[in-house]
Amino acid sequence: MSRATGSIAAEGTAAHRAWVVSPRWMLTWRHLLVCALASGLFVYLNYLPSLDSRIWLDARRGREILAEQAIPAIDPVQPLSDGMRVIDTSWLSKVVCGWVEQWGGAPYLAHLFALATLAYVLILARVLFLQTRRLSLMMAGVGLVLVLGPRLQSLAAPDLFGAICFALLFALVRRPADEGLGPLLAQPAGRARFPAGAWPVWLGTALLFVAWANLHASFLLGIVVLGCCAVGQAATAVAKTGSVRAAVSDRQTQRWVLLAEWAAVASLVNPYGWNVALETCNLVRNENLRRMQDWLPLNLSTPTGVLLLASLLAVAAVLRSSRRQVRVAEALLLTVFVAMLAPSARGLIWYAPVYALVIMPHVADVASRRPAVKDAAGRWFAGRKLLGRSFAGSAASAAGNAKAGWSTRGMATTLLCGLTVWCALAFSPISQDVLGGKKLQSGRTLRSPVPAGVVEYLRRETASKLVFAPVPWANCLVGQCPPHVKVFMTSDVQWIPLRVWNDYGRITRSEPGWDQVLDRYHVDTVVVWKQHQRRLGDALRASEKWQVVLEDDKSLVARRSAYHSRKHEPSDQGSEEG
Amino acid sequence: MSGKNSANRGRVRIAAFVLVQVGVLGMAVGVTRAKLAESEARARLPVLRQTPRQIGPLYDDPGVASDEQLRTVLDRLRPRLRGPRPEINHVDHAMRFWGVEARFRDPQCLSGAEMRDVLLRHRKFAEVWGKESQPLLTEDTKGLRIRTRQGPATASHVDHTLGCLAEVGTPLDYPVETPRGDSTVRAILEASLRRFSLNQWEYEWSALAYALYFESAAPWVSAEGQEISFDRLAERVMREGLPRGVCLGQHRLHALVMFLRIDEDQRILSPECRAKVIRHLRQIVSLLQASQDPQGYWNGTWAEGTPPAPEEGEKEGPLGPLARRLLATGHILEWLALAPEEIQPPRAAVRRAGQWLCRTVAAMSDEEIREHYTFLSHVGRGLALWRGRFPSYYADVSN
Repeated sequence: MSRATGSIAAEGTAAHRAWVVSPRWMLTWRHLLVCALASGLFVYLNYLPSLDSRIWLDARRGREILAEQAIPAIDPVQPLSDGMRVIDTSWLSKVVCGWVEQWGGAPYLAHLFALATLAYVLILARVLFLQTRRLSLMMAGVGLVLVLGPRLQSLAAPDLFGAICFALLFALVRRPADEGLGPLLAQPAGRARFPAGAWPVWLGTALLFVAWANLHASFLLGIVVLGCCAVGQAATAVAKTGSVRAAVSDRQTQRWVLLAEWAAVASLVNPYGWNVALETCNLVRNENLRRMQDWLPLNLSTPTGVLLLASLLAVAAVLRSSRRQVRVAEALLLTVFVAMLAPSARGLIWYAPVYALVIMPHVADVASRRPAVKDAAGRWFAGRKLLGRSFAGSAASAAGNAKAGWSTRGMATTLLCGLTVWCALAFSPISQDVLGGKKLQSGRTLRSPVPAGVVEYLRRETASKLVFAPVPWANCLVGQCPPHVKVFMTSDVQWIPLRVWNDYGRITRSEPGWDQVLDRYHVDTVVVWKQHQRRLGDALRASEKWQVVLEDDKSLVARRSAYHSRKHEPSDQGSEEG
Repeated sequence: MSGKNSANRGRVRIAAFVLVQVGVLGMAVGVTRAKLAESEARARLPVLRQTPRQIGPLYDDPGVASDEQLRTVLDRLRPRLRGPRPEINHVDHAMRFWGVEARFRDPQCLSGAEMRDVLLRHRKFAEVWGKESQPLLTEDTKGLRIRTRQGPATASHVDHTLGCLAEVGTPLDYPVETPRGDSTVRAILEASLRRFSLNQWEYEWSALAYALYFESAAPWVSAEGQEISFDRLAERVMREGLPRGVCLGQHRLHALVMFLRIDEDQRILSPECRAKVIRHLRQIVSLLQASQDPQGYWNGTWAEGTPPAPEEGEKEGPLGPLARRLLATGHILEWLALAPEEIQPPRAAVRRAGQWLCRTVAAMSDEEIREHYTFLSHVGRGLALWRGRFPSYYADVSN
């Protein structure tokens, strides 16, 4: 009997155990909030109809690499770059884009963009949360990154992958198990330990930099970050002991230095080896790039410039109020990444996360000394009985209620999280392929900025033609037209001779002699974006050499007239004098 | 004891760390230096010949111009450029036409050497153009250059003078006297190479000079970072539509013919590119056959492939129809005289052209000859080449 009873009891226990879900899977309201925000962001990103035009170009280049099973040594889409040295520092990003497009077509590029952006934001959010241990501060930090950084939809795929690697670096070298702040930027004094059992960090760093060096040229910034940490650690050691020898013998300093070197060695695993670093340095000095809009220096009178100034003032204010010691590495990182903005506003992609990661621990310190602020959100939950066990009877005080309410784990919250994610998927274009359902109307998902008529017109071309088109449209055209349609230039301006870039400007602005420049390059077709090239459109209409073959409210396509496709007037530049 | 061991271990660790750093630093510096050296080598200018190649005539056809006709034409085209302010455009054309060996008894004529002096010696230039004139030889950040397209005291086209110097066999160490001091022709050529862009407006004479002065066909890297080979130069020459370019596009064709001729001696073109150039020139020759006037001349509409109606299709430019005919026909005859047999049109077409030129030049007034001297220099050179000689050979004949 007792044996039977015991058996039943044992079975009952087993059955009960079968229904018990590990606490790991029971989520809190915090998780739900994060889920909701991330899902909302994903839906927003997936619905963005127009991304940066470079995504089309990257996909085309990726397809070329996949088809050839090699990185092209010459630029296949810009014939005028023939003879220029092509070192593609982001070939792997392009392969990813090309592969995704081959797999699912252009809409999958939008999905890729949405997922990659979400990954970037979530990784940053995770690092920020671990640094501040406050959901509100994590969200504030993410908000800072989004506000200070460039618009998400203006990021090209390689930039985005580079940004993910940048965020991953911070996630990797920060020790998540720390109760306090991580060792990278803000480890409390006395706990300056490199992660115990650090092999995952070493292995992760190697893998990260191998991938990063092939995805985007920004891998050098990762080495700069590690270098700043090494220098910061060394400076701290010197400051403590007053001895350089102490810095050299400091284990932490040694490890940071070795980690930076390890990252540099790992980054050599790329098709170009050492040249990729030199090419990256050359890119910064490239005269063509420096004339591109997004490579221009930051203008402090623009809203972005004002934001930058405000962010720097905010640093001063926060550091003044914070009791946390300002670490040398923090100061170095901030200085280096602010300095990077001087030559080019593109540095904002990297400045924004560094800024958030440096400032938020100090904000957390300031906030921790203001309980009223700290618990304001929590009080909202106080006394509310939501979903029974989440809050019932857990609050003795408003603050206590709040804390318990936010932190109490429950299966219902987990289910709500799942529902939120499901809803986001269901309402996003990505679900069409995963879940099936009615196709979205045209224009509700990724679309090319080039009018469909122009693309169709060029697709009908059978012979190899050189097409002059505004750079953003040219990016799309090379992605959407057959390979024999070549463009004057794309946004990969670093691979074309300076004179071609200058001549592009002359034609676009329809400066005197514009038609002779077109003759010189033997351009056969001109595509005009009326909004930005109105004068060129007018000039083409007025020229007898050119015949308008297609026009709508947004674009104009002109072809060299049959007569002038053979016969050209002698140039005024090249007179007839023998 | 254990404390001592620990201290030793610490020292060893520090020593190992320092050694690793020295090694890493050394490797980084070494590799960077090697890469920079590689980069510098890539940017290095090509090896140049001390003396440029000479591309001579291939044919001797009295049907194009008889001895008598040639003598008459060359006599009319003597370089009567002595005196103040001779147009530099005329001087460099005349030097190219007659060569530096030419001497004339006519005191009004400059010898070939004197013409080269006007171009390359600042004192001589200042002597004829006056000290107030801006010097012909100037220097900029890329080096020594010949002022171009800034009036009659300057050359007419980019690297035209350099191309002429190459064609008349000027060695690279030939002294050049600039307002700032002495230099050599090499400095002008090297500056041209540093300045060259594949997409510049005028490239025909640069390409010609490079082909004549380069020791080998090894490509070089332009200031824009573009690797330039003779294949690319040839592609560039063939890229634009016809008759676009200076002198109705004829200098482009002249450059292609010179590439082919040099390629016969020393490979500067790939076999594919050579075949493409030949195809291109054959197409041009077909067009020329179709567009030749029954009298023998071509005009500004040569690229249309139909014979020109007397005035139809011919713009009345500042030079007039006669000038256009002389311009087109003289240049065409000149590069055909150097072109390999596989490109030649039926000889009858060349003879018609030669005869028309001889008749026309003989009938021209001195004033017209002075006015159209640059075009006519190609006429004279072309006719002489069709008799298998450079015009300098006939310099004595014309005295």
